[in-house]
Amino acid sequence: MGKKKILLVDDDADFVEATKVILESKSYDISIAHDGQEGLEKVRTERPDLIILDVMMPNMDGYEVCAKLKADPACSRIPVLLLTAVGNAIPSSKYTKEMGMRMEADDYIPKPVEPEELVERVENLFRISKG
Amino acid sequence: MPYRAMKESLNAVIDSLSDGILVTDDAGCIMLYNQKAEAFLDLKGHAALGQPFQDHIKNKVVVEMITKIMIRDNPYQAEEICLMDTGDKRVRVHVNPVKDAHEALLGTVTLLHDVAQLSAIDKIKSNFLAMVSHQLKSPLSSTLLQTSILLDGMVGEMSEKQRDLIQKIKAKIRGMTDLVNDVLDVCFIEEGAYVAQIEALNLPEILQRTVELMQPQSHDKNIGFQVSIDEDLPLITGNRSSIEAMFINLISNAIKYTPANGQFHVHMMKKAQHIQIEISDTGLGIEAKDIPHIFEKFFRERSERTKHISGTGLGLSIVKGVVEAHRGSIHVESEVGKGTTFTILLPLK
Repeated sequence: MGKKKILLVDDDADFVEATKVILESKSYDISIAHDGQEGLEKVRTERPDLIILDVMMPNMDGYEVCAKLKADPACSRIPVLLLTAVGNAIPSSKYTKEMGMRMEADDYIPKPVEPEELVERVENLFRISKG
Repeated sequence: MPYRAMKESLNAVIDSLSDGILVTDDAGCIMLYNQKAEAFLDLKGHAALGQPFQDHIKNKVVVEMITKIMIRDNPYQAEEICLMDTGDKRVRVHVNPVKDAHEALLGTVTLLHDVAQLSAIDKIKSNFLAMVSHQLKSPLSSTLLQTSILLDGMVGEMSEKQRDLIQKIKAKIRGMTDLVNDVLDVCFIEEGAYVAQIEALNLPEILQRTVELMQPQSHDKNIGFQVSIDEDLPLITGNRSSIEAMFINLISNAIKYTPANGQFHVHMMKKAQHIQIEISDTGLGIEAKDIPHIFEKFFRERSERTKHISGTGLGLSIVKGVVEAHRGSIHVESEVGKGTTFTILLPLK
């Protein structure tokens, strides 16, 4: 049984690099995409076991990517962990859209995220999808 | 004034309103509407008078809102909807039941308020807040992870002194994150509350969920808590997110300012035309001289006994802001060394 593959989709290069180091130390194989379009392509070509997706990205944002992934039967089973920069404090209608999007994703965490929490959620999602 | 003249003046008055008004009777027939309502809902002159509302109002959201009010007793339903297909007209719709002295349903009244102006500002503001949130939190996100990587030795071992400094940096990053979150809460509550989404809220349900969320923190300090909620509490109207923020801040404070093995108690009950929420703890208590200041922004007691407690000093100003936005009141009683009780009253209507 090989290593689990995780695709990170986020335009913040520092965040992505740091997350990669942390997840690799937990024996995951990490692949990176810097925007939504690249993310969708890599899902199709690399078939990751889990996708960590940032909401706030230029051009195609996380909502759109998530919706596209869940609408595609080939990828809809891959667990998606959404990273949200906007917390609960802003409930204007744009963010009730985000609340709705949270229903589509398999889990979500607000940034900044503690590394232990990130690892725990990833492990949780793998545990759930196995069963 | 003869009846006819009075009726004509009243018609002139309601036609002069910049808001639309539409009234239905208890059978759902349209009894009255003014020019603005006719324009907003595309009602075609007087053709809709006396007709079932669902046959003439094309907008599904409005139809749904009126239907809901007729079937079930909701005190207030305000929803922002976009009426025009071009998408440039935004109208806030309020539907209220019309009742007689014996609380029997006579019909419904719908108010249509043009919020185009408000919405443009709201959009700019919420985009600004979202952007600020993102710009501030992004560097905090990556630096938090970077300090963790250093501390875990993933990029090489560090000396004790180096570790110590990085620990301090990490603590500062966490502090800044709390500050950013609290400042954003304050901004939202101060400037956005009146255009925020308002709905009927089940306070007991929101309180229970908040308590569940805070359970790990109280567990860490072995702080026991009791939640007692009276049965059959009526719904109140308000903004869900800000009420959640209010509960989170109150309970977080109770936990932070109560030493390990202490306890806090939340009691929710109906009191006259209000819902009363009482939260009391067996914590440090507040000095009499500080009580007038505790709701001020950034106010924190800075003394030996509180210096180890982290916080931005914005929590209570957020709580007060939410309470006031809901036209409620908040009262505090405290004794140093014994504990503190906050009593909040939120009106039902």
